[in-house]
Parts: sequence; C-alpha cells; structure tokens
Amino acid sequence: MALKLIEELCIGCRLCQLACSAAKEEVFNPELARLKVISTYTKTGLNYTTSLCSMCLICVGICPTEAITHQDGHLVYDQDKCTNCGSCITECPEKVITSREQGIALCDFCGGSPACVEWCPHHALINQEVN
Amino acid sequence: MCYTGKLLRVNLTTGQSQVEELNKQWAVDYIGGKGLGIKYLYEELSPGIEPLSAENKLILMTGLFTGTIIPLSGKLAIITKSPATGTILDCSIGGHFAAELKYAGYDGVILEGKATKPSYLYIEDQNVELRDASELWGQGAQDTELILRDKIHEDVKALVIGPAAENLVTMSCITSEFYRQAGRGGVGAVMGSKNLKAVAVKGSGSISVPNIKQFVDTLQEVMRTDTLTDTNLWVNTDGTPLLVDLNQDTGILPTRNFQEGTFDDYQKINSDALKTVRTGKKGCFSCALGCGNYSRSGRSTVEGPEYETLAIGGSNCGISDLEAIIEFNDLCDNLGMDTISVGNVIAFAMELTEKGIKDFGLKFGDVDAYLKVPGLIAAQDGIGVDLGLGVKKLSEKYGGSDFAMQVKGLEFPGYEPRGSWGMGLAYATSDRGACHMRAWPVADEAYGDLDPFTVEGKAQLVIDLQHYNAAKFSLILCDFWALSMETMGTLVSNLQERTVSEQELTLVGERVVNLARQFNVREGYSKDNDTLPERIFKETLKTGATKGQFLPREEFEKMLAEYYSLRGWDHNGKPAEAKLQELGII
Amino acid sequence: MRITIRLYGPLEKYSSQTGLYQKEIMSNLSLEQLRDQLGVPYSSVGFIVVNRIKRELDYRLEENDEVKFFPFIAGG
Repeated sequence: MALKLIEELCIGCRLCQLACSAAKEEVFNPELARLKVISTYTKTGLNYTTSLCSMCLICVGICPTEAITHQDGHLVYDQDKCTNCGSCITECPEKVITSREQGIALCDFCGGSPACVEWCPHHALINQEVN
Repeated sequence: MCYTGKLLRVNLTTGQSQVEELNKQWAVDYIGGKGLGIKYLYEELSPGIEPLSAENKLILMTGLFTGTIIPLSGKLAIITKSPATGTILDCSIGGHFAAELKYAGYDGVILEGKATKPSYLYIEDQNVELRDASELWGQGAQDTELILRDKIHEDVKALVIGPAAENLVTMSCITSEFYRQAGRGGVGAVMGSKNLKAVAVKGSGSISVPNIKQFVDTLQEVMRTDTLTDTNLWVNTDGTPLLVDLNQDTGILPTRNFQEGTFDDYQKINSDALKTVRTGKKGCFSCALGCGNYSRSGRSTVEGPEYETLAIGGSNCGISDLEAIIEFNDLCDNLGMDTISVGNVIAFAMELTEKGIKDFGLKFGDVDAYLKVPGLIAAQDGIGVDLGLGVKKLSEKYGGSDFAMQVKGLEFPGYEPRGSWGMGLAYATSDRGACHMRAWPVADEAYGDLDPFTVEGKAQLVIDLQHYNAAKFSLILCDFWALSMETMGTLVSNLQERTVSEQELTLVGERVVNLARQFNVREGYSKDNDTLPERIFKETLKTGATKGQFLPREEFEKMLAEYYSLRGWDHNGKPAEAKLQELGII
Repeated sequence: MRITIRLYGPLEKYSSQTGLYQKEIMSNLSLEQLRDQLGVPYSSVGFIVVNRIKRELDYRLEENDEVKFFPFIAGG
C-alpha cells in the first residue's frame, strides 16, 4: 500500500485530513491528521502540497526499538516500545510522522482501509499497491 | 456542542481585544452565520449610523457546522451595515478562513472602531495582535495574502482587502484564497474605513462532536447519497458557467444592460468555451463538489469567471471576448471589487453614453474601454469617480433611472426578472438590495414547472425560498448543495443530540428574515424601496423564450401585497408587532 | 429519423458521446422515451429544451430536432 494523489482530480477540500483526524484522534483538526493534502494558489498558479505515506519503510529501519514495524502491507506503531528519540520524525522523507505529547503519530493506513481514501469525493487520493 | 462558546471582540481604535461568551440563547434562536451575525449587529448598532464611520461594526461569524466533516460547511458569514444601500448586509465567503477561526477557538469576531493607522489583525489561538500594515497598504488582494504567508506562516488563512476598499469604493469586496470574495454591498469598504487591511488567523485547536465515529459514518453516507448526486454534480463538471446555456435558452441572460434576454454570441462565453481554458478545479474547506474553475487566458489567470461575471460582465456589456472577461475578472479580483456591481455600472454607463445622456466613452462591446474601468474605479480616477458611485447614485446624478438596474442601491445579478416574475419579487424584497442569494425562484420558474409569467403562487414561493436560504446560511452550508430542509434538520440533530425538525429550522429562517427586515425598517426602509426599475415594468424583451414579455407593475404590486400579507407585515412592508412577538424578536 | 442530442454537465456520463451528437431514433418518440432510451435517470433531468424551447416530457420528436438535456441547478 501507498497513498498517492492524482492532482487533476483534487479539489483541495481537506475532507481526507478531517477523516483522518476523526478516525485517529477522535476530533476534527486537519493539523492532527497523518497526511497533508493542500491545494492552494501561489504566484505561479495552483499548487499541490502533500505529505503522504509512501511505505518507504525508512522509519522501520531507523527505529532503534522496533516500535514501528511493517505488517500486512502497512505500518504498525507500538507506543510502549517508543523511546521518543524522534529519529523517525527527522528521517521521514514525506514529513508524515509527527510528534505527540507521548510518542509519535504515523499513518498506519487505518489497518488496511484508509479513511482518507474512503472520504475523497473524487477519488483523487488512492491507495496503490507497492512492491 | 460544536460551538467554541467564545467571541472575540476587537476595538480597533485602542488595539485592545477581549474574549466574551457567545450568547447561548441567541445561538439557539439564530444558530450562527447569517442569523447570529444579524442578531448581534441589530442589538449593538444604533439606527442611522454612517456605514463608513467608526461606529459601524464588521462581524465575522462561523456556523454550527464549521470545522466539521459536514460537506460544504466551510464558508464564513460577514455581517455589517452596507455603505452601498444602508441596509443590513450579510455576505458569505468561501475559502478556508472560517474553519481556521474556529480551530483558533472563536465562533466569531466583532470588529469595532477604527484603527489609527493601516493595520492588520493577527489571531493565533489566544494571542491577538493588531499589527502595522504599512507595507501591505496599497497592495493588491493577492499580493497581500502572499506577503502574509511569507511573514507569518505558509498555512496562515486571511481575509484581505485590495486598493479599491482602501479608497472606500462602495463596490469593493473582501477576498480570501485569491479568488473567493465576500462580494456585495461594499463590505470591503467597511473594512477599509476601519484602516484594516487584513485579518489573519492560525488555529491549533480541535472540534469535538458527540459519537464522532458514528457521526463520520453517517456523514459519509449522506455525502454519497445526497451530495455527490447528479443534482449537485453540475458544480464539479462545469461550475456556474453552465448557467450561460440554461439562461440563453430560457431567455433570461442579461444582455446590454438588461435590454435583452438572449445574447447571440453566448457560445463564446459559455461553459464549453471556458473548458478550453480551464486548467484545474478547486473547492473550499470541506467542499465535496469543487465549483472553482482555474482558468488561464492571455495574460490573466483566475479561478472563474463565474456565471455572474460572464453574464453581468460579459453579455450585459455586449462583450463576447472570453479573454477580455477573464482579464476583467482578474483585475476586479486583485483590486478587490464585486464583478456584479462593476459590470452593471459599466453596462449602465454604456447605455448612458449610447443614448447621448452622458458620455463616458463606453460602448457595448468595446473591450478596450471596458478593461480600463476597474482600475479607474479602484483608484477613484477619471470616470472611475462617477462610476464608483454605483448605478443608483449615478442615475440620480445624470438620469436614466428607468434603466438603472438596481434595488435599494445594489445592482442586479444575472437573471432577467421579466423571464421569472418570482425573481422580480425576490430582488425587490431581498434584505440587501437586488440579490439572488436570498431566494432563487429561477430554478422553479425558468428551469422548472412553474409558469414564469404569472404572479400566481410566487409570493409563497419566494417566502419559502427565503426561509430556506436564511436557515442554510446560518448553519452555515454552501448554496450549491441542494439538500432539503429536512436533511439540514437531520444534520443539526446529529450534532446536537436532540431532534431538530425541518419546522424548527424553517422558523429560524423566518426569524432571521424578519429580524433583517426589522433592521431595515429601523433604518427607514419601506414599501417604496421594494420595487424594480421601470425597464422591468414597461419594456418588452424581443428575443428568444421571453420574447414579448415584461412584468406589468400592477401584477408586481399584487405579488408584493400578497407577500406582505402572507408574511404578517403591514401594507408598508413593516413587520407587525404580533409577528415580531411570535418570532421572539421583541 | 435523425436528431441531435446534447447532455449537459453530470448527464454527459450517460452517453459514450460528448458534446452535440447525432442519433437515429424511431419517429414519434417522446422526450420521456428518449430519456429512458439514453439511460438518463428521470430524477437527474432538470429540464429539456428542443430547438431552444423548453418542452414537457410528452413532446413528440421530429426530424432534425436539437434536444438538450439540462441537469438540476441549485444556487447561482
């Protein structure tokens, strides 16, 4: 699995981020989502900014305590093993992983059926198979 | 539930701000957005104040739905007293500001007084600062947003004004996300008169909802079965330009200052034409549809043009050059002006010139002269001084009031009322002057099954539509989701954990409409102002589906009298005491 | 007989053709029957215009008619 944005279909509604924060944090707050999809106007035109988990697995490799593992095609985070070293946050190339008061927040694809993908009204956000 | 319970009150004169509790009873009676904003303004403003004076207030109000996953709930209501009309004025702006304000912890902001020098307000959760805007003053709307993103944070959300509002032009607007506006009635000028260049916000808070997982599941089902349906998907496939074709074929496309209802070159400015220059689609916060058409043509790019700009700034000016209309749109957006009012005043000036009443050097179809006007109005230069007065005052100065297409000082939107008689009543009785956003009978008349050329049943139709929109804009939901009042009740019930029926919501709508009316009555408005220009009552249209049609004054008066009677207002259009008591307004 | 058809906005997806296209139909077909033949759900159609005139569902089509199916529109 890996999240991918088809820009031509994205309307920048942020329903994906709202769905994520609701599913993972039980509140509505895009800042707490484990993905970022922003479509905005800049001097040069319409710009898409994303932070989407690509399943690069760098975080798995760098975690010193195996708090982050790779199971069933997605990440699994075990907070009990986390030492708050912050390496995964620093190394995540997509800037998906963020810190919390205790531990970190990452994208675990909601265990297989990502809420963000379910919510995207125009199928701009998709879950691709990754080898 | 779902309110933050806090209002931010800012005294721009002293630079001080305070947080106060949201009035809980008013939140029950008026919900939020339009209704709650009008309630606050009605209670806090004395009648007769000058809209461009420090005594006016500018209220930013979110709704119950703001910041949640409810689709199409991302708009903000902005409420003030209009400098163009002197009536109550509520505008609705999209973009992403409203949710950010709520995440910052506020249901609304009340801006009072006048800053001593050009300033902008920055709200970051509990930190509120009035900052110096000397480097921003004079900048276009878009550049202002870019500078704020640079100075503060790339994700900051802002409401900004352009140079037109700084110069107190009464057709100036408030802008956000480059291309979204609180457009009408000179709302921008109120902000300019307060020396306030921008309001920027960053919010880190969250919104909680009871049983959020169930709520989200319910809303996903609602989105699939009620939002993403053919009834609403025109917004995504085409956006508002689709209306050019509908209105051409139903004979209600304003052409050459509402002289005609069809435009021979309509295919040069319709949705098909726009799709050839469209490069992207965009929506507001939480929008599932995405009406924005990002278009690039010649030296201009805009999110748009919307139907109103294509009609009022296009066919209504005899302009069929799409690239020119896009440039016109871009100019108005950056200078910060309402394309409906600017388009109308240009068309009016074109007719005055052609009739030899007053030479503004403008002619229907003359692109070069047309493109110079927005800059002149914004700068209050040359003919811009006269044109900036708006159609009503311009007609009072030079004549031509018969074809000054306005009501109460607000210029006509893009629907010919002679082809939709209920629309004529809607324009005449709208709380802010000629407006299609309080009631839109066009859907039932021109596009639907009702006979457009009768007043039969139209008073009740307009009343029902006004209640529906007033409730909708208090929740807040965007106009483009055609959901039923019943569904709106279901959404509110889901959030508030109590059953809110469609009757209750209709009552809120009625209360809001009556309160807005009471505000206007208090300002001296009466039946005399609930009227239409003579052109509508006297001149017949000559082409297409509305050939031979006009709206006879006696018919209009019948419709208006029935409207007042059904509303429980007296023959002068004043809400009876019994009605106001019934609604809990007095 | 031959007619020209245009399906606007979200109605376009019900045809494999885009824009204005021609179609052979039986004579005397009604607009309602044409709509059903095209597979456009009745609840999706706002109104229908034939040769620039709004028509009811019982209108009988004629040779060379230009038929436009418009979707519902809310707002403006």
